[in-house]
Amino acid sequence: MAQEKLLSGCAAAAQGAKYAEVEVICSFPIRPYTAIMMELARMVAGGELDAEFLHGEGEHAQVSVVLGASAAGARAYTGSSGVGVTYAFEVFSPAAGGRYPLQMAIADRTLDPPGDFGSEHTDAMSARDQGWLMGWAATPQEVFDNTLINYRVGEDPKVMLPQFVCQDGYFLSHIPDRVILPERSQVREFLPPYQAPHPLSPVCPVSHGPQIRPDQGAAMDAQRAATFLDVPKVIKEATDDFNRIFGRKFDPFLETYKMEDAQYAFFIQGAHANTCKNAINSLRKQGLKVGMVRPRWVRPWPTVEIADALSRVKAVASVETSTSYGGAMRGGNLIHELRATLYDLPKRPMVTSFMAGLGGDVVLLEDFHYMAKILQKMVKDKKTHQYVYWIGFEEEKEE
Amino acid sequence: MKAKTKSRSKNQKVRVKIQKAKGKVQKARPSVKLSSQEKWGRFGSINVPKDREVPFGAITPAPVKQQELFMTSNWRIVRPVIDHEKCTRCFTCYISCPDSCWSFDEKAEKMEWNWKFCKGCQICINECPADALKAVPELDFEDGVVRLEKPF
Repeated sequence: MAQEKLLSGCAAAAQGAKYAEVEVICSFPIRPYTAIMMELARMVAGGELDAEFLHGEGEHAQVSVVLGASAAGARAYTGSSGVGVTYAFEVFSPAAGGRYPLQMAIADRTLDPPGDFGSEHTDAMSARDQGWLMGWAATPQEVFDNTLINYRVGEDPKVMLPQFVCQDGYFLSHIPDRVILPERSQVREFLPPYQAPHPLSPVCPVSHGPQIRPDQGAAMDAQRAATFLDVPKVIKEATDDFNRIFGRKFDPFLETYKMEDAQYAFFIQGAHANTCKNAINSLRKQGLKVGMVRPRWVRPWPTVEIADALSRVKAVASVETSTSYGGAMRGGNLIHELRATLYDLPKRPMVTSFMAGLGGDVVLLEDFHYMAKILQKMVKDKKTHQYVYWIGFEEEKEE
Repeated sequence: MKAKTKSRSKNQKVRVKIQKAKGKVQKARPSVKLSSQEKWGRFGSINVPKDREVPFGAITPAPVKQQELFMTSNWRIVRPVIDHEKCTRCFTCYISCPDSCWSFDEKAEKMEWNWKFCKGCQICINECPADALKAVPELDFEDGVVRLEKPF
């Protein structure tokens, strides 16, 4: 029987892994993601989940262990947060290059220094170019669903790539919400057991991760890039199947909110989108036609869908929850890709970015009101006054 | 309700503009969306020629003994030379070699050195209890890897 439970993002991720019937799990503690491993350890100890539970001696070892497990043909699961993600960095590219569809849950956390532990997307975002699939959830339910969808997409024979399933630390990982846990039969229909194409086996010996020559490197890069051209189709198929089997209404790539007649839009990823929706409701009461676009995937970046969704608005506020110091816009990461995405539109909207939700900061309702005010001013003056606004850290200006 | 219709007609205009920009002006209703294939086609196509293709994930059948494609003795400057008279077949060199370059030739009953992978680290020379191994500069050999015009 499908049942409804009150679960935090971490507990939902653990449930997702349980329903995906993962076979190898490797843990190492770092908050806030640790709660996922606590849940999984309890499940394995209690006989709820039949999996090999290993302790890595660090995050580098964690990903290495699941890489090996995946090479041997197991469905493998690990996770981390903040500096743990960056400590494992070396193994990210080989995991994608070797085509191991393992999954790493990331409950994001600010990077050091100096030891801030609040939510910020920079840790995972800095690994976005390592050839993994990546996306942020906005609710515990979506964390659970993304765990299954990511395994399905990653293990597709056309794809075969590892996946970062990201959620906001604390805001999502530690705040419980209603989660519908499906029936086993539904999950088995959606996610068949993992079949590795060339598993490590004494019966048919193979070499994984051999050295290749420099002249093979470019060809391999091209092959990996070609794979990414196919991923959107697979994501669409998988999401359609998911919606059919579980009765959900996910758009494969974007969550849009009140975009039908919107003139202004917030572009935001992760759990802050929930606050954003509330802000939109109150802004709309004031007569401002605002909408929201939230990408469900960062890699592959839903270029076409985002361009479609934002083709009719006048101005877009990219709400950055990560940093890109010295980047083209001197702010966050999203605006770079967003501006590049919108460049080819016949009528480009104006785009600016707001640094908010950094270091564990809450993005307040009034912050969204402030952003809307700036968007209105931009449209009125027909000028993008600034590329980036550091909310709360701006010079006081006389109005 | 009126506002909605208005914005819809505006959307249509934008869509027609998009299609014009793509050189695909169609008579059909502007709400017809381009198929995702046409859209994704903008990312170009990638075609890796067969002779440059790398096996999936660079996974290859495991070589039984050695991977001839990747000989790694390029940078050797000395090589171990064995004195078969002194050699006691104790296999210490076989055990100590980090690249498994010593093996036992059962027919000739002699230790055999693999020139393709030996980097000249001289661990075997150090470890040999019978003093049967000697380091000889690679330049002393006509086939010395230091003489190669093009490294393999």
